[in-house]
Amino acid sequence: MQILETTNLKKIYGSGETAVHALDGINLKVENGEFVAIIGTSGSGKSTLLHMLGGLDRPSSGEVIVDGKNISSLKDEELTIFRRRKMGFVFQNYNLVPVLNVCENIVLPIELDGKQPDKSYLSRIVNTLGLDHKLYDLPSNLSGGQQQRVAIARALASKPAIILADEPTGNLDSKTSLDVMGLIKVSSQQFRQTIVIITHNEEIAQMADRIIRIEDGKMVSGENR
Amino acid sequence: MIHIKSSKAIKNLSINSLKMNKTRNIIAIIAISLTALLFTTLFTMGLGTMESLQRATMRQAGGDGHATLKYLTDEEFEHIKSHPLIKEIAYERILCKKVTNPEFSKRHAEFWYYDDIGMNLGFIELEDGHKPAAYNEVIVDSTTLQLLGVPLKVGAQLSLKLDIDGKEVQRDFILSGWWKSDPVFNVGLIFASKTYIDTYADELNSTYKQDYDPTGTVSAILLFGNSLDLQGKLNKVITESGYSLDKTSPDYLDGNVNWSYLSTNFILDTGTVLALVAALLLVTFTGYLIIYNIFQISVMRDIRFYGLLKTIGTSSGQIRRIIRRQALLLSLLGVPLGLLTGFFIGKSLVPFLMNNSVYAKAELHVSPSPWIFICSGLFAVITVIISTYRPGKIASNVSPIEAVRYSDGGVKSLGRHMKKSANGGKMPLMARANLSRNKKRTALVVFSLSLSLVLLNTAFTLSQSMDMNRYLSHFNDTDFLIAHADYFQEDFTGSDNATTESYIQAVEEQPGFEEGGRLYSGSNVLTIESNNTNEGYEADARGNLPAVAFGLEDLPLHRLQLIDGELDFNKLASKRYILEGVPVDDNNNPEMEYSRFHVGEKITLHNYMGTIHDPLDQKYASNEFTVLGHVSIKATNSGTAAAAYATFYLPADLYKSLVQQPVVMSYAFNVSADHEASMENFLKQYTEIAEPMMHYKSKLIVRNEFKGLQTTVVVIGGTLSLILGLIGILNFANAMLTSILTRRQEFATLQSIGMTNKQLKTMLIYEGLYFVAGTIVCSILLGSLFSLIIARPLSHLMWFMSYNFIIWPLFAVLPILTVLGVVLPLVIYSLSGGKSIVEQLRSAE
Repeated sequence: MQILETTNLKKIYGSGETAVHALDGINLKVENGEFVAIIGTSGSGKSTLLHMLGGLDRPSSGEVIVDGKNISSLKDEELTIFRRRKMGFVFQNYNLVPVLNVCENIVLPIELDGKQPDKSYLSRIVNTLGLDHKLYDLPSNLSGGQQQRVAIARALASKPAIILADEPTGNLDSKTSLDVMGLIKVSSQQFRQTIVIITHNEEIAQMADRIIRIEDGKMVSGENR
Repeated sequence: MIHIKSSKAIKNLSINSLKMNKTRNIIAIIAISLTALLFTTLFTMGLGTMESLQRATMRQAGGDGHATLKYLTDEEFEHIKSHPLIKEIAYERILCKKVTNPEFSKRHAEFWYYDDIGMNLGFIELEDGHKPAAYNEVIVDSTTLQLLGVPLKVGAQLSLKLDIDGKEVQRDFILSGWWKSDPVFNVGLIFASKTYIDTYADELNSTYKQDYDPTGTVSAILLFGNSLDLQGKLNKVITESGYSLDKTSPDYLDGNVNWSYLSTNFILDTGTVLALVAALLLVTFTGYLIIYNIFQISVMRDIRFYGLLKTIGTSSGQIRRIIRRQALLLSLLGVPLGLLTGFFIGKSLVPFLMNNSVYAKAELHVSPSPWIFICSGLFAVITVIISTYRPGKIASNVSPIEAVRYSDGGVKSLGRHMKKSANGGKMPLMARANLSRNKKRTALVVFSLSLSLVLLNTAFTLSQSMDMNRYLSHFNDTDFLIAHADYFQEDFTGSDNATTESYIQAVEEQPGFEEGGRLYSGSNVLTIESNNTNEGYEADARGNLPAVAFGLEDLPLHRLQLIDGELDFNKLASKRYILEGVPVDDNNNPEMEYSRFHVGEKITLHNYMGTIHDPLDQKYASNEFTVLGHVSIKATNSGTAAAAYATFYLPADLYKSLVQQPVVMSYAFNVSADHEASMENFLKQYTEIAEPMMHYKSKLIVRNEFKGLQTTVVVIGGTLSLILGLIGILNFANAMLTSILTRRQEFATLQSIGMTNKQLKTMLIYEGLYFVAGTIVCSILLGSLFSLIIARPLSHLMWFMSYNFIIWPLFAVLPILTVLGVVLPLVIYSLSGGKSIVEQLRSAE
């Protein structure tokens, strides 16, 4: 079953002669439970693609269908709500809320949705990511790797249809990077979680089930499994 | 050693980084100008009041000359005028003993010649026409002309009756000019020309030394180099010109210094100085709170820039100079703006300050003295420099490496690492946590907002603590008190300004009149036998001291306030007993040290039964009384303008039998409650038309005075707290703006993980409301404290105040604050927004 599909996705910045085709007709399909890495040099359009997939930005043309829903047809506020229910984000610079402790950060998306977190599920995530001793620490007290693990836990907490990770290891040293990637992979397997990560690091990308390569806004390899 | 000229680089850096901070600049300029505005308002109010008071006293004194020599002959004037101490001298000559036109019975007029200097010193500025030139030309003040019924028109005819050498002479004059009468100067002035003096030279030969007739004598108004030691200078001028200070010497010259200069130091009493210093400190502090906050925030935001500067070799001192320079450049715009608006606000507040003084009728003079601007500007700039000192230090002490990691309200400044809770994601809790990111700034903002509220509350506490009943009872025993106008000027002497029976009768005939009673008195009517001669009272030929007695009809008699002894009306009626009056202080406490006799002591009163000129020929009646008790002398049962060794109260009948010619000093009466207003109207009309010499005092008048006093406190306190409030709000807005701008990326994160715009706004509103809540708590605490330690002692100092603890003004502004707390964050957020989530996320990378 496909959890994510794009059809002829285009994003054009500017117009006329100065128009930049950041995405130029992307057709992508991701299966449920799949761990996909999108790889490309800087400026290739991989970040733009991730933003389109996450509904953070709107495409110029084409469609993004997540869990059967065409998200480009949603209004802003609907999109936000869809996002917090169906998607989890992991950013390069962790983007934790500094005034909330680890535990509060993790459950924030659930609470924003006005729901009660699933305690046993949460403790499994926390244990898997090795955060059980750090639950009441503030982000400022954590190392980069630990912060990124909190971010992953936050993304997993709401049981989203898909997790989008934008250079999740970009700020980490190589050993920690591999640790974090290992955890992402384990999570994807244990929680049957669909994960799409963006990276420019070939070694990191190798850990994924499938690698999609993007150049100049076009997919050059790894179309479909 | 090579000295590098770095000032140009510093200048460039300051100006360029100034350009980067447009929003901060605007806020900083507003803040600086508000601070300057507050200073200017204060100084204008202070100096303006002082100036107006001084000018008013000078005009009452009749001019701003330093000293006057009186009753000179022309030769004496010529002799004195070249004395080196004299900078300027005016020649003024009185041309008749008295102007006897009947129109001047209420307000005397004097007939003078003044030279140009005299007119200048006497503030005579012609509204129309020219100075008199021909022998029959005069200039006159407007009120005098109105009394004479002469139109305010150059060329009008007027006729004066002059008392010259005891004969009444009528002369006709032509009005060559007029000026507006000064309401504080209670004498009419008519000035003739130099030609008049030459024409009537023979009748102007002074005979003052023989018969004390002032006609033709010269008054010299002296102006010295400065106003220090005026008496010493005057004495020197007299003695060094060959005259004497000894009254009995034939060469004696009568002179006095201008008392308005002697009383000018009244403004510098300790209380005033303390109040001024406190106000200045308050303003400095308020200014500090906001300017410091603005610069601290902007330094935090630019900390990487300063780190970069340090990396490339800028010294700490240079960075401090860059920041100070920016502040001063901003002051260059802000201070003049504040000075200008502050002056006009201060100027418009001076009337309120002056409103309730004796000088209410005086024209107000608030000139844009350079001192106002110099002082306020100086204070404002000092405040700016103090406020930027710490931010400058922070910027200059930053290490280049740390600066890169420094982020406002971020990692380092949190100061704690653990947070034992699991529900911080709830909006209110998250908002509270956000405010504690920078606790100091939150505290500063809350404090700055609270200051204005505390001031407001204090102003209202003071105005509400004014006790109308106390105030009324001080001036009114009965609903109305009627008397001759002079009585209310504290100038009642006797039959010259008695209250007329026709007036009393007219009042008694009015509907609603309930009860009334006369108060009889007079000056130089009674004397008392006393062994005490060294009290400073001049004894008469028989060795008796002056005494004043008041004869009261039933209504005022029954309202006497007993201090000790007894108030037995039957005993008083037996003609053997008398009550002694004792002055009371403002708080109605008797000042027993002024009582002369004990209860039970026997006294002997004498009354003159002849003319004052042959004291020993007077028939002389003696009456012996026993002092029955002491009663309070109040404003409502006294008012004879005479020095008295002792004051007594008796029933009216007894008083009338005691003196040859009893005079009604005043008449107190009550009306039924529903007729107060109609009686007020009647009295107003009656004293304007039927008997203009008569006047009255009513509860309504006193009540209005009282209301005016209250308004003054509220208006001045309110205006100042409004400005303080503006500063507080500006501070609040600035803090909110900064916190929203610096958290842009965080907001983007929150939105990307699913926080809706509505939720984000709710969080911001909670933050605003927490500020409001903090402000309310802080101002209730501080307001109560202020009320107790400042307003309460102040109320105890003022006799008409009874302290009243109030806090409702704070709750009254609560809705406004709440609206601000909701609207401000929303407005700032929507103004600062506009970028998409992606852009905001990117800007962080």
